[in-house]
Amino acid sequence: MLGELVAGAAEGLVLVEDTVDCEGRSLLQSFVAAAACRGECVHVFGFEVSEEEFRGCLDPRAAPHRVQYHDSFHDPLGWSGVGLEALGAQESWFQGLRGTPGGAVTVVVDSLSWILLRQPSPAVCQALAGARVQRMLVLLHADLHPPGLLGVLRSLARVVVALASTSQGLGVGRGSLHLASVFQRMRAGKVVTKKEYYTLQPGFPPMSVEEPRGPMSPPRDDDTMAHPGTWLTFDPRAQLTFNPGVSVEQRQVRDAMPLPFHFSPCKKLSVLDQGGQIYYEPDPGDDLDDEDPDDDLDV
Amino acid sequence: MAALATGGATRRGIAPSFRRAGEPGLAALPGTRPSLRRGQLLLSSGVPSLDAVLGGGLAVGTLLLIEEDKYGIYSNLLFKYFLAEGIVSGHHLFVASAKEDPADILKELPAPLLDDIYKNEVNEEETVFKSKESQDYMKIAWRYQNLPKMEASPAASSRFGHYYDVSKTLSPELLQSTKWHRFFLPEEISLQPNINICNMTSGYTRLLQSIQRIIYQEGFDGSHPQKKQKNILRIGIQNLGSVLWGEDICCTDNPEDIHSLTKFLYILRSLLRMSLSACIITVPAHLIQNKAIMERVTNLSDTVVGLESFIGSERETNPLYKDYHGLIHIHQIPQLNSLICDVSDTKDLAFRLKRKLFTIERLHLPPDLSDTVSRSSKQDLAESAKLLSSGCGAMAMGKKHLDF
Repeated sequence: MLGELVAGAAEGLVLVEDTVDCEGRSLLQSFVAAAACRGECVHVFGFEVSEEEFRGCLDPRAAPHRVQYHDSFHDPLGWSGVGLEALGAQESWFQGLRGTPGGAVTVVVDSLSWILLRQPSPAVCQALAGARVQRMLVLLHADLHPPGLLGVLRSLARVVVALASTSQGLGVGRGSLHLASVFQRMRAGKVVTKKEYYTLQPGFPPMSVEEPRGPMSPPRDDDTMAHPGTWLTFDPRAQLTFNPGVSVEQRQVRDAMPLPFHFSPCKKLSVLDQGGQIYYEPDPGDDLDDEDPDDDLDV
Repeated sequence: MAALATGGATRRGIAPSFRRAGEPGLAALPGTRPSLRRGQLLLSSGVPSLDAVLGGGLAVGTLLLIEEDKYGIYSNLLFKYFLAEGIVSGHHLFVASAKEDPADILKELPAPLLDDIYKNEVNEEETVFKSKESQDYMKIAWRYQNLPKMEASPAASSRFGHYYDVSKTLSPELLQSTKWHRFFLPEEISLQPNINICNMTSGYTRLLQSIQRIIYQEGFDGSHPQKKQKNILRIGIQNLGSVLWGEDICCTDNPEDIHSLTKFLYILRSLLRMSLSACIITVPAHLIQNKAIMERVTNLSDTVVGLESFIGSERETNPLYKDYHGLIHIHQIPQLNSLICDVSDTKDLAFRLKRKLFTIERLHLPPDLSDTVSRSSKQDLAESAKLLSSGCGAMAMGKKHLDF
């Protein structure tokens, strides 16, 4: 996934978070190199390293004029007093950001931490959100900022790449293995997260590598522990003296049986009364007499 | 204003012969209905199951605050449902945002579902469900099967809550016939760079002035009595309190002006109470560092709903929660014109988003099993949940050899 992002799938604000253990400038340089190879216009705002050092890792065969470097490393406070640089690095960054043409332009900020430590964060975030460029790549040193600010920047960004070093000890230098946690916000509101290991050669896109299985890595747990609770696998039928099962014919007969409160029409007919007749059969002790005993009274 | 109006409406209900000449009557406001319990005028929030949880709907003149989930996906959806309901009911809209242009927000509103399409969908779902479960179906000797099903299907025309299809957007004709107002902070700042800040963040000041101007000009507070038809103003403010409004309560523990948001809410609520309007606000509560601010914000709002989505968390793969997309917490329901509010007894509510339906349901968690059974593995939890939550019939059918 990291390779695809470098190859151009990343859009909007891309946040690369690095730490003291694992630096992210080389990833930034590979992004720039890939963008320059694709023929896009790249504007780099450099605050922490000089232009030569940044360009040193770029492929000299790629057209260098496509990568435009705004240097604020040599004169951050604008003491030389020439034009835009007279404002100082931070204000010139805001101006430069507003001045970049929109469209298929990649803006790289190396690094955003430098600006955030000197400018109020709401203004910086508003400037980041207001930039109308296709891709904006910022490097952030995650160790330098409080977690609240990191959370805010992550919520603003479309893609977040958090870098960490691996403790495998597979050699130092550019070829070593790093872990990248990529979080990407897709168009339709979906969110994709992925963790992958990668190695980086200078000037080339990162190569993702599968997780290394060193001698210190934890064993795979294919052999699961035996279930301590066995009540779910307990088979009660083994202990019974009768057969609780239902055969297919018995089930059919049972389904065909009418239920007590489901009235079929013939059952309704038999149950509901047809008229108002009372049928009475006299008991042996009954004395049925048609005469009215009140007639005997002499009133 | 709203209380006076509802008083008028109930009075009219008792003695219809004493109708005042010339007054159209507030019960005739489109898209509203009077509350059954308190005589408040209620609006639909756009999601019928949320209306049911909130006690019938959102009262006119109140504020609905939504605490956003981690990536803001579902809170944005509720925001859009609220605005879409306003368009379908014919209300006026006021959309404010610092992140997205309000015209883009309105273009992405979900399309409402018509009656017959919804019924077909429901029937299709039912037949699919029945065919899947026919072998597990147990005939019970009770009469309840003959009774008509109690379904919350949308009633005929002029109904209260609507259902929306998230995959389709609102038709442009419907949008054009709506009267709406916009507030986009970067645009306002570029139009008027200097503004005298009255002890609040300038973005909030501008927003309040804009809302007050619209309420006065369009007569939502009764200031133009010759207007022929009263209407409701639905205000939607997206992502309030985030960095893009120019304030830093999300960045640090000790922000510069800690009371800015609370002052804004206080003034906004007074504006809402004196006009025929309702407001929805989404706040990124998970980013606000100082928890005291969220407490104050909750106290200053009327209805507060918190969303917690399962995306990216370990609950996403937990089989207990596999049917749902997140949890919804009702933090506060207002006590308007009464001493108590009808808070439902269940606190475990979960929501699920299907293409045409956003439902809020009770979450059935399995009960605590006895000590002898270990609950360490999720497999056991899922099994017990499956057995217990689907009722007696399925429990007998779950293990086929126990069928008798």
